[in-house]
This record gives sequence, C-alpha cells and structure tokens, in this order.
Amino acid sequence: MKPALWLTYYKIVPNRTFWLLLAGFLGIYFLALGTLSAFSQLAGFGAQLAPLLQRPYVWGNLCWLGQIGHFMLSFFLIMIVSNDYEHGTLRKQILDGMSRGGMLLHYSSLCVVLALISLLTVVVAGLVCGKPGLAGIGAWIDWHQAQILGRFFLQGIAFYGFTLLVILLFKRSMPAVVFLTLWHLGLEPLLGVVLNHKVREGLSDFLPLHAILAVVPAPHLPTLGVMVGDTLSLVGVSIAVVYTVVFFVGSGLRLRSQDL
Amino acid sequence: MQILETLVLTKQYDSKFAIQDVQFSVGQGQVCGLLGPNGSGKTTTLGIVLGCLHASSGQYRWFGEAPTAVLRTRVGALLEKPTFYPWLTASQNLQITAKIRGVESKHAVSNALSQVDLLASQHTAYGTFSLGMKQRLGLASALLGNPEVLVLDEPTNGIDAEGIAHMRALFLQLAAAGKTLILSSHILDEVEKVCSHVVILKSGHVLAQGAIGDVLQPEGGIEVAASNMEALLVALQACPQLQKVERRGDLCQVLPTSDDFTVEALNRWLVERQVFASHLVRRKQSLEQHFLSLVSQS
Repeated sequence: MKPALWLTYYKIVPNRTFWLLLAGFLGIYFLALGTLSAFSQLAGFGAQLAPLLQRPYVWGNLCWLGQIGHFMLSFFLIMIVSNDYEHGTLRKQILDGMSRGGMLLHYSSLCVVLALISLLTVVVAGLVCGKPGLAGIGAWIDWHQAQILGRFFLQGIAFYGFTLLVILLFKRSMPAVVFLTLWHLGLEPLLGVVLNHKVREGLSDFLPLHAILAVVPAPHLPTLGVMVGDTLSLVGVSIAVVYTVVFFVGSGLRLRSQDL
Repeated sequence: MQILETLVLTKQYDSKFAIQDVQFSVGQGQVCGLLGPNGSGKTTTLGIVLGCLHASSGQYRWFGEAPTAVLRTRVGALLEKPTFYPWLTASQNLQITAKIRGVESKHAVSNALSQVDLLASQHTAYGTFSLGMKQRLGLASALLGNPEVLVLDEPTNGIDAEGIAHMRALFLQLAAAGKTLILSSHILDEVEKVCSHVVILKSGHVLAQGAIGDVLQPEGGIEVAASNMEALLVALQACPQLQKVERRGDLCQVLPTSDDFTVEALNRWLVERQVFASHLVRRKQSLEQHFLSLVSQS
C-alpha cells in the first residue's frame, strides 16, 4: 500500500504538467463562477441567475460545473499511464518488486486523488461563492448536499476508472484520447439510439458514460422554472457503482495479463 | 542452494517461439553469464524470470520458491535499458525504487549513486543525462539496498572504456562478497573475465551451460618451439599420443589424442629424444572461439 501511495506522490507533486492542468481547470472553473456571480448582481435576467449560487442548490450546481475538472484532469491520468509505457517505468516498477496488484492500487489511488481534487475545488468554491439560502432551506449542510458531493466524488472515480481502462488498453495517449472523444461524442450516443430503437426504449441510460454523467443532476434553477430537480434514483447510482467496479476490475485484469 | 531455476520455460508469440524449453539453474555465489547472438532469447528469458513477461509454459523458481513480488525485492535488476522518469532527479528516481523495495536506510540512495560514480549528479534531472550516465543510474538502481542477487542485461552498454573497467571491478568485488550475479552480455571477453558459469543460448534454445572451465574446453592444443625445429618436428610426429602435428612458422601446433596427455608428459617425451623446448604452452580455445563454433554448429 505504502509504495503505491509514494509512487502517486512522486508522479503528481514534481510534475509540471499536472500543475498546468490543475491551474487550467481552476482558472476556467473560477472564471465561470466569477462571471456567473457578476451577472447575478445585475437587474433583470441576471437577478434570475442568483439562485444558482444560493445554498443549498449551489452545491449541486457547482458539482455539475465541476465535471469539467474530471475531463481536464483525466488528461493527466492518460499522460501518466502512457508515460509509464513509453518510458518503461511501469516495467521498472515491476522489476523493483512492485506486484501488478500494487500497480493497480497505485493507479487507483491516482484516480482517487484526482477525484478528491475536483471535490475539494467544488467545496472551496461553494464556501467562497455560496450565497445565503432561500427562505427555509438555507442550511449550509444537509443530507441532500452531502449526497450531491458524494455523487460527484463517485462520478470522478467512475470517470477516471473508465479513462484508466481505456489507456491501459491502448497504452498510448493519442489513440486513447481519440477513442474517449469519439466514444463520448459519437459512439455512445449512436449506440444509445440503436439500442433504444432496436432493442428497448431507455437502454441508453445503461451505457457507461451516460450512466456516469447522470450521477450528478443538471443545474437547479427554481426561480426560472427550470425544475430539473433530482432526477437520479438509487438505481442510477447503483449502475454507476457497478461500472466503477467493472472498470477497475477490468484494469486489474488488463495489467495482470499484459507483457511489459 | 539454487538461487534461480528455470524449468522448460517457453515463450511463444503466435506461431513463433522466442524461447523453447529453456532450462538452467544458477547457484548461490555464482556469476553466471547469459550469452547468445541477437534474438537468441536472452532478454526474453530474463524478462520472464523478472516478472515482466508471462511464460507460455514452464516455470521458474527464485530461492527455491514460486516467484512473488516480495521475492523480487531481493533481486536487483536492469533489463535492456534503464527506465526512469525524465522529470525527476537521479536521487528522486532512486527513492521510488527504495520505497518499492522497502529500503529504509537514509544513505542507501547516496551509497548506490557513489558506487557508480554518480553522486555529483544526484540532483540533476534524469532527462538531461548522457547514455552512459543513464546506464550507470540503472546499475545504481539495481544495487540499491544491497540485494542478494543482481540480474543485469547488457550492463556496460553505452559506458566508456574507463567506466567498463570500473564496472568489471565492481562485479568482481560483488562476486567476492558472495553476491549472485546473472549477466547477459554480447561482450564475450567481459563474460570470460567476470563469470564463473555460462549459459549459451541460440534461437531460444540452450546450447551449452556449466562452469566456464567446463564449457571452455581445452581443445586449442599445445604450442611448442625449439632451436632445432626439424628435430622437434620429427620427435613430435613420432609421439603416439598426438593426433595432429602442424608447423606454423617458428611454432609447432599439436593436438593430443586425450586431455590426459599433459604438457609435462610432452616435455618428458621431447627431453628423452634430446629435444629441448624453448616454448611450451597449452592453448585453450577462447570462449569466443568456442561460442562461435557452438553457434555455427547448431
């Protein structure tokens, strides 16, 4: 356990690309929040945006916006794993006495750390930008908020798990990025349409990225009447949990069977 | 005690065999050289026993036990080329290895770096290293924590002549300290100078193995010279224990019918015939000659 965590530390802390990506994510995230906050001060439509930043809805809204962090930091995960193949450091760590299970633990801890970074960003942003709540529901923390943050963390783990499996399959960053982009933009939606029409309506909800992204509900804007609300059932979370397990078990099997 | 034992190891890629039924063992304290031309399966064999490749069939044992990651921490290894993170310094890269191997000593990293003469570059990023420095850092990584066994694949690649001499001295020093070394090398002369045992591979098969003295058969014959070369030639041709007598300039090259016929016996034969040798040397066939003949025979 300890060597796996040390390895994670050495891959993150001295790595300039990680800090650049993190700065990029934080920059975009807080710029978007700052813009939203500034608009909400204005009269008219701006004022209608204000509830987006009110507690308790602010947590869910910030989590939804924080998905960009999963997306950006997944590039770091892709880079780290593909570097391990390219530089031969994955093989080196096996030579040094790390087991393949230990390597999975290391990559999994990397996923957890990245998900925690996104979560921490959301929590800090919520504390900094969150406005006093609507009458009667102004609590800082309640079960609903904790649940949203938990879902956001689960979403991060699941998303990084999917990314990990893909990069372990492709070994190189470019094909992995192309595949993930194609899968997100074209392959999965297409597969969803085919399944819905040819097999059974609603099957697209069970596809991996759809299931993962559905874990965090869309922005909640009660005063605009856009009551998207909490569309997520326990079944939806369960599907995401099952996918998370599948991705990490798949990654473990891939690592175990590979010649390095 | 056997440190490493391979039992009919085979690695197959589709229909092609990288190695087939490779079987050898390395005892404690031996310095075993793995020799073979390119593509003979040396690196594949080492890759399997070091846990990087999966054998298609067969098995191997480290320290008499089925291989595990924990057992591998007792083996320092350098396979093919050194591989480190380019953005980390030499010291940081070795700290990762130390953490994985469970090396607790604070001085272990600096000790390993000084063993390969890299202490001055410990805070330099690996990415800026020359080929020779990279190779030396790979060796330092293998030496880290004073492992019982060292497995080094082409360890002197990219190292200059002075560095090679330094490495050779280091290997001999480690061997004298009772370490077990498994070296794969193309430099036969190096193997001859350092190794106590040798395994010769070709096309994925073991051609010969054993103590270097046994594999290095004394088939080179005996060289003789005397002031009276004509009398020498007559005396040699009359000797029934010699199967071949050949004059080569100022020397006569003779091949005894058996190894029991010693240089002393030949000298006695000549003295009895009033021929006094000015030069009498048993010429062993060099490892290179034997290696080449073995490889070409197969």
